[in-house]
Amino acid sequence: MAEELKQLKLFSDVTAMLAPAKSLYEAGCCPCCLLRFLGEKDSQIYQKSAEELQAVALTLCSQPQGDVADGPTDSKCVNTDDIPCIACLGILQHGCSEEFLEKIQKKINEEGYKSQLFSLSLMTPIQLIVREHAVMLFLRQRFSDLYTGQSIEKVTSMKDVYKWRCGPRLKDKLNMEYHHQIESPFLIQLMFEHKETETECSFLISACPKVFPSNSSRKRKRDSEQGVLNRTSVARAISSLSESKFMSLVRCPPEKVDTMCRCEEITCYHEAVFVAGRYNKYSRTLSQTPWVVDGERRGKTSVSELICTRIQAMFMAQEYRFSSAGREDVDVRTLGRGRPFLVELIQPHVSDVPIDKMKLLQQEINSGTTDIAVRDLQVVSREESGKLKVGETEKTKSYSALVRVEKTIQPDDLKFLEEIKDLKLAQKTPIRVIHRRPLASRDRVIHNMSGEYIDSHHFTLHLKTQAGTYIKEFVHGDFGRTQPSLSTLMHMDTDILELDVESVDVDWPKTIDE
Amino acid sequence: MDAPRSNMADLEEKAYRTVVDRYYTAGYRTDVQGRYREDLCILQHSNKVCIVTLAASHPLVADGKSVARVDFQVTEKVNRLDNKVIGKGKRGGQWLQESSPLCRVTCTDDTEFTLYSCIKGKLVEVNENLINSPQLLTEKPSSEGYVAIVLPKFGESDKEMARLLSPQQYRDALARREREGPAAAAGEREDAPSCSKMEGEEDKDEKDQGGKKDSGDEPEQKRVKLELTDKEQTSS
Repeated sequence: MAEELKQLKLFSDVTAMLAPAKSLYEAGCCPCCLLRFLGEKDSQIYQKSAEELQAVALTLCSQPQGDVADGPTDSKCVNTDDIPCIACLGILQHGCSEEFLEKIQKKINEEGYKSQLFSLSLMTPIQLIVREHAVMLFLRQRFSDLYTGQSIEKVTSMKDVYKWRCGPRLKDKLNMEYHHQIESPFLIQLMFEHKETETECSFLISACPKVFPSNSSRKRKRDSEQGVLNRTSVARAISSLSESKFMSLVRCPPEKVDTMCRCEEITCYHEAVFVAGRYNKYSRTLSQTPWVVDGERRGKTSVSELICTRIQAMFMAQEYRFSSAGREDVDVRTLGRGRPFLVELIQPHVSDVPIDKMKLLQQEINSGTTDIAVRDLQVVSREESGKLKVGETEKTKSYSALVRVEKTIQPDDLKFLEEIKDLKLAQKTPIRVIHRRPLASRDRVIHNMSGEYIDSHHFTLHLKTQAGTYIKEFVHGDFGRTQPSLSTLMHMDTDILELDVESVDVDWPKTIDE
Repeated sequence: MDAPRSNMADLEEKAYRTVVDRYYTAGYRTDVQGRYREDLCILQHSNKVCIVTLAASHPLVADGKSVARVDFQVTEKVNRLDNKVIGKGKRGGQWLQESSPLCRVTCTDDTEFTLYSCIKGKLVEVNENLINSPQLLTEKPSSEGYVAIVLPKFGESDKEMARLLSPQQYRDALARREREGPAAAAGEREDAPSCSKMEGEEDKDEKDQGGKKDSGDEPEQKRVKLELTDKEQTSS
């Protein structure tokens, strides 16, 4: 026996399988499908070149088989690359060709996708289910001793063979990692179509009224026929038919075709990438997100745009979503270590951005504006990204507010503020936001306060509060709707002229050494 | 790299504008419901939410009245304290017309006043603090002593405000009233959809009768007047 046949592991020993091999070959199977239906399961075998596989197939078919001594006489004129296979319609032929893989490579390069790892996904025509079943029944009938108990589930799937054959080759072309069975956030989806055999499933609709109830299918027009035919319904219909019934309706083995299956659509998907960091805001005229009133834009830009535009460009993302640990008003600054934020990049084309590039990106953002600054910019996992909103109400925030008082004060008049610990407030939804939030009274805590005297009518109020406390309303009282307020504590009218967030006490994202 | 406080040095009093100055636009109605000097002020926040307050020229404030009681039971059936709003859309809030009463105020000298909405919209809340601290009404009329918060229909807030007197028109109306006395108080038709001379006089009568008047239901006379006012409004 030829050397290359020894490594094959088929449904039975190789000599027994020579007859079905020849039949499959004559029926019009490509070398890969031939090996599949003979029971070969080893990925190594399928990773051979097209020529090598063809040689294996030819050797199998030309072995002397007891009574029939002659090999396939037409072997020389069979070009397995040109004649579409009856079982895969060419997916394992043209679909695995160098020419097609180059097309995939070109598409991915054109769209600028860069990732560490990729996965492949195949969408194949449903009529292949019928065709594979027909091949199986053909074998079972002709070689009942070899194929009894074998079913299509025992045959290596076309998709696995495709990925074994093309994955490693694409890996070299794309310069990305590929591992069979390992899912990557970057997915290349190949949609194969075969017009010539498109209607090969239609007979099932009338043959299996149980799967396709007549009242719904009859009323519909022809084009909706394809609508009821999907993978599940076709598989169910086939299994509901007896072998003899199926063979009376479909040619086994299936008929040869003239055209190769084509991949009309190569689609790339990349899962969202999350970028986290902390930002400072130094402007009192910059809103956190684009500010639109009655369809009209207010302010040229916003914190989120200043941060996200460059990040989006770097990752070549289709869209982004900005979120943060709370927010500040347009006239409020955020100082200290800043406020944690998260940018979700939707359909990024680049996901592999190393740390030093992230640092450059951060510098770029910071050098482009004096209104904001960003630190700790980093890529985080989807799980990590959830931490932004954890403990939203437990966390504390520190502020400093420039307060104006109506009556004259002395520095000593501010001392009492330091005595107040964990002051409980009842805050009704501020009038300022009442148009877009439900009316409610919420309990909030001011953990501590202190006053820094400026002049007889002004001081700086430092305070640490529970997240969600409305500071402006605490200072001016919001028409008495926050109780107590600074004004009730000081027994005089108090007003807030400026507010700064000094710290947002959240340990996320992690600090990056600068 | 914290920047220094931007305006720390610039704390001059001339620049100071109160919360109301900064975020609210005022609109006025004089001689509300034809009652002489019973002027109200509507503060519209930049988010279009409106707050009903007493104007400084209202007798309660201007005459230094001492408020004994504020009652939100405005008719036998309607109590403004029963108002409940649900969700962002403030579903279920009582719907107010311009002429809808919000509360009845009784002073220590037994005079009584009814305060009206002056603006169409959904009642968001009344100032419950007035029940226990009725003096807020006169001591802090444009802050803690507010009467109610009203949310006009979406997009109608500015229209509602346009029907009121601007601060300048209000000052002019006060000056005119000062000059001409009660008889001529409501003589101006074009900008003050309030009342006629006759009404002004009647008002005075009503006022003289003091507490007797306020039984909870609108007197017959009153309703006729209201219709009159409405008609005149549409024709002007």
